[in-house]
Amino acid sequence: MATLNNITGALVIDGTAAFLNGAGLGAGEDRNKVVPKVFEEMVNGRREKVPYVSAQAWRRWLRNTSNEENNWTPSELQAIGVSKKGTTNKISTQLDPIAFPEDDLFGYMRSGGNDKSGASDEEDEDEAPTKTKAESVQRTSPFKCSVLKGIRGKRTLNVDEGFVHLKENTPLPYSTQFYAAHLEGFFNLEYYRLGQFDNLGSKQELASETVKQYADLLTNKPLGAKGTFKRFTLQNAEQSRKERAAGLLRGLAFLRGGAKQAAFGADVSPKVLILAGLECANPVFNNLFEGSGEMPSLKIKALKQIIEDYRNKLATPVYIGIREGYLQNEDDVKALADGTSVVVGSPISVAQDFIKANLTTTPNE
Amino acid sequence: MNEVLEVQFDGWTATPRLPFVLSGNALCMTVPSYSSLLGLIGCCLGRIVTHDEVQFGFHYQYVTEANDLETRQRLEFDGRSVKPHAKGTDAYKREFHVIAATDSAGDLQPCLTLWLNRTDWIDYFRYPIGTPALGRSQDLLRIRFESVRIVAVEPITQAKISGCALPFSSGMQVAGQLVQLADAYEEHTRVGAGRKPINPRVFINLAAGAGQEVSIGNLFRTGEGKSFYLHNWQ
Repeated sequence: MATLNNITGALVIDGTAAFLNGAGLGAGEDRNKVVPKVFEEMVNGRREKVPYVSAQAWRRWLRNTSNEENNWTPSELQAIGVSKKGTTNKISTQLDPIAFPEDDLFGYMRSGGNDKSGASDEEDEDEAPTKTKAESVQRTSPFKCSVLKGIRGKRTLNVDEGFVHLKENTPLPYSTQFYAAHLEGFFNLEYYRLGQFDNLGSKQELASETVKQYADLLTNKPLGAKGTFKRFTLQNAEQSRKERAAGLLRGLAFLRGGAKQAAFGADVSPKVLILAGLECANPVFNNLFEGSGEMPSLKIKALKQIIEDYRNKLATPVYIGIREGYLQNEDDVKALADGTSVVVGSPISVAQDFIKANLTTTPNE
Repeated sequence: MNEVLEVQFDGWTATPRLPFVLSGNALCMTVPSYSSLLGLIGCCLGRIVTHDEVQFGFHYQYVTEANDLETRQRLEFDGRSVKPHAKGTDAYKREFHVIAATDSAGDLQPCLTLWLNRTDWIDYFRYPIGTPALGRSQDLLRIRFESVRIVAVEPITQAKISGCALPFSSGMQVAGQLVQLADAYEEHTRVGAGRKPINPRVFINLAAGAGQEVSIGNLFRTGEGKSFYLHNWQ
């Protein structure tokens, strides 16, 4: 059996009549129109507009939902750099992956200050000279996700025309572009990295003060060709890794967020959620949906090929959660369930099943 | 050398960031740098890979450019406490490449092909240790399982190539984007001491397309007729 090193998967959210992530005002003369984020894709040699939600936007939804679902203390943003004028020019989270699950799962960064001899960036120019030099600390996010993008054939853009009456009988027009789209995204959680922190030459995940503060909770071993770098591991890493990954999956199953909820009120909880434990970190479940029918469908042939190709690297069955009546080929997807290599249920039930089978720390949980 | 490891990646977005432009909007280069691809290779191997361990060539293509908006949270210190800035948040523009080109069946086309002289690394690309991404963490790439294979190559003296970066020398008859970049970076040995650039020089980035005739050293052609330049760090 392969080792569970990564939890990889895909999700689809229903964005029919939604405006989940804005890109400001329209271009040129079109300044009274609010537009969502859109990029262009080449389909059969033709350019097509594709609505999308930035990864950083839905990561924020996921951070908030995970904190709420698990009663985790959010890793609040704080000021870490002050300019001569007294305004803040740098912020970061708490930079403490030991106390804050959010920092462990989503990473963080603090750029060092006042090092004029090295690679100082422009923003350092107005740094207060008295400030002591801070270490650069950087943890790349163990949870990595794509943008959420409109499924081919299921992504049309529309315009809502509105009027605002500043005074009586003076209607001023304004427009809001929105989409009728089903949005697909994929992700990979580098599960093995939770509770494990590498301090290298160019990337230091734990600040010296954090190492000092938690000295009794951390073990370390030398790393790198010359053994001068260090890998710190939490003493109860296996347990905290399971708890935190389980918390993230709970957040994912109940995902909440999105812009213009008062005007469009979209439910962004996944309508389809695919999860699997893998030994390797390839985010394999991408581009799995198409929209040639009335509703989106799952490309079953592609999914079967992935399961076949990665058979000896799959550490768990492939869990497919679908909302009843959502997929065009729902019956075919349900027929995939065999209890051993594929489990089918609702998006929330598969997240729970995955946690129960793979991320439970005590037998009674 | 008569065989190389060929690996193809696909995905939706990529950000081959133009380095050294730190203020205002982020811009992209036409193709990624050798140092960032070396980082991508290291990600697949799950460790830092130094430039003297491998030689590789690449072909990169994208479909369109787009601009993402990123909110920047601002806080201010009024002498006693830190609070949200009165002017609210502001936004940065981040240019990125859309690399999702689909065929008539809706399958993604490869955006990046690597040719490496380390055929013994085949399993690291079939089953990478880290999550492959080109640019920001959201620019995830998938390695096309069936594309990871050892292919036969032959050295050639002249080729039509595109979608790659060549070390620039005056007198080169090619059109492209000139950038001054380091070949690679090497970690200092002390924790947090940073990295040092190796061999900074001028590269010319050739956009993907019909290809331009070049005649330089280290050109190869695969059995399927694909030509590439194998970068040798010298």
